[in-house]
Amino acid sequence: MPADAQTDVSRRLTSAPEIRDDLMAANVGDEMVVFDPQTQQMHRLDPMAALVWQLLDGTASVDQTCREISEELGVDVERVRVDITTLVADLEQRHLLVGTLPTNGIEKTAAADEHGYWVSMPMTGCVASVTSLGWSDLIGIDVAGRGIGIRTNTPALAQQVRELFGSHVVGDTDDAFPNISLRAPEAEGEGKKDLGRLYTRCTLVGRSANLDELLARMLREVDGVVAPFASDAMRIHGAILEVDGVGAVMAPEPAWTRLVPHERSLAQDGIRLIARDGVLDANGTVHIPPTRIQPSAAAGSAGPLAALGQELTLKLRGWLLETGEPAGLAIAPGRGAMLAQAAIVNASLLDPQETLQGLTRVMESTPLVTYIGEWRSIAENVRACVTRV
Amino acid sequence: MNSELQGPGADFLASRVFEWIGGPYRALGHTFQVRTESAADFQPRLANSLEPLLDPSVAHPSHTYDVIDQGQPISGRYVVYDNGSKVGASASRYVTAGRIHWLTNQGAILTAAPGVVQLHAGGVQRSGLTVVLPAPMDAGKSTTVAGLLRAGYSYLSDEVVEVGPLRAITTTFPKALALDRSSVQLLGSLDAPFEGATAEPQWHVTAGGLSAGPAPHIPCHADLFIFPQYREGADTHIQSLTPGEATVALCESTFKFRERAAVALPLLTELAELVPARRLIIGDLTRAVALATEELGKIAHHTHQGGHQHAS
Repeated sequence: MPADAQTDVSRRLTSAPEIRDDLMAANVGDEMVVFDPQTQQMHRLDPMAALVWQLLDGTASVDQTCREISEELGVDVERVRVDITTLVADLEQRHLLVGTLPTNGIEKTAAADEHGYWVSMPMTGCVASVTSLGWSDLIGIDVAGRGIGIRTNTPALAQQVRELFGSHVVGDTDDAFPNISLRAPEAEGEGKKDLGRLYTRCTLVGRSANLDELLARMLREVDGVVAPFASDAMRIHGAILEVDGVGAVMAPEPAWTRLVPHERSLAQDGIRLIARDGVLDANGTVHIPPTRIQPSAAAGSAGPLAALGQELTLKLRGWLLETGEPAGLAIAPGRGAMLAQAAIVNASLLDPQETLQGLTRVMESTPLVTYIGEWRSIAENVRACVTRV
Repeated sequence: MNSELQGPGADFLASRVFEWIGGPYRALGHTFQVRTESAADFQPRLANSLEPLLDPSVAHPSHTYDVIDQGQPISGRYVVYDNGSKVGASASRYVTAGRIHWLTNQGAILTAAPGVVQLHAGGVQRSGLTVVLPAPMDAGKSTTVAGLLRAGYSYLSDEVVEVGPLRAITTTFPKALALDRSSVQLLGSLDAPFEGATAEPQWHVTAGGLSAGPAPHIPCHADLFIFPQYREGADTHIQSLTPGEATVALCESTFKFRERAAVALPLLTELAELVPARRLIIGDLTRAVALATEELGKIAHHTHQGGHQHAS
């Protein structure tokens, strides 16, 4: 045995491995399956591994465990050592033991960590070769509360993709999330005609001279990227106003664009327009990925905004809706809820039904106010949301 | 049957004239109707492919998908609205119709009934026994389902099968099968779903178009899992999966598994223990259909002998 391997075996024999406590495991017959929520991977353990799994609780060294198994089963201890150290090495490689999970995540790029809610997936194809093809745009879309990056090789193609996804487009993003890469077929001309190509996670999944075929195929690829990851969280497209660090008031589109001109006036009133877009959970908490925090709000921030680079969470205190009607607290919550729901349907979600059920629950305990397009009215009503709580 | 439009485009849409209105449709828990300004452009593409989802009992579909024709041969000519909100546009009728199918699938996926797992799977039935075929995209799931329908099976779905405790299946999603050109060629002698479809890369073919009917035994139980995997030129064969292998494969084919792992994992392990699972490597469709049928025959025999099913 090479010296390095010998050292590895010795190290393992003296270690006291412990199974990570955040794993989800279930016995199936005499096998075991394990779901790792950190890496999103499933693992299957054969009957022998499933048996040893129960013993790896961090209290005994591998050597002690081997001796116990040897005595229990009447098997030569050296043979047991070979089997168990191999098994422990395998579990280490799969990052299932305490201390074996890289701190930066296994499947996530650093940039994916930074963005939080973007769908990060391991690249499975020839990343270097696909990356070197040359790309012009990367479009961020939001499907069922998950961000997906679609990379194109020409601005014209990017425009077609933006049109195709319409309100699902949440803006351009950086090149860290090419979940899907789409190259247009080369125009007819002199020389060899190049087929269009579609890549998912840098793996070629389609080639065609017909761009429509590739676009339709891309829709299905988006399904493939999103489906296993679809979230119950409710993604709100619009402005998020923060009042004295007390909580958030959400102004779904189209209020966002109307609020921008009033940003400075509102800030003077202690109301900061801190983000565009956020995720609302069923408990009425607004989660804002760090990159969504407005730079102007982040500058010189205090209170909850001080922890930049981290997700910001705020309690939802109310909704601000522009209705064209006299400003004030909505007397009929049902009508307000309907208006807010419409705004959120507009936001993104492909199927609002589930979202609306969750949203309705949240709205039962959340004030709704209306405003007219004038900053004093906005300020008064945002503050009314907060003070009513 | 018109759902009340609430989005910002509601007033605009109220002023439009829709030549074709299809529905009401049901895709599992998702209900909808489709309206298009131009009947000629979209009715041939959508009326036939959505026909299996027609459900006259739906009084108020939760979604209305509208297709507006901006009239000019411009990028984004056909605009799709969902309940009055613009959700996309394309210059291509094919892509626009694809967008409607996509919205339909997404709607079905996101409306799971409580207590069930939604498998990304095909489903067929024969002699009262139900075969569920979970697989990732491009594994040959729809083609295999089409092959089985051609061989006399009846149809549950080529996209989503919901399975509950004790392997119960109480719903179906009998959408038109989405078949790529290569699959269409493989199946042979298939009627084009509409005039001009021959130029399109993917066809949406109803079970009726494959001379098959809807599954007659609903509710039912999952009796056999077959995980199809197409490999060009491969020797077609079938192999047993252990319950552990089947569980992993089922987890990987479960929608929203990550969010619902705590609920889904026990349900899937139960399924893997109760239902035999096979991996079907497909190089030749005819042979694959024969092998699947043979495997189902063994289960039918076992069932008629009064044996209990188990996953070994």
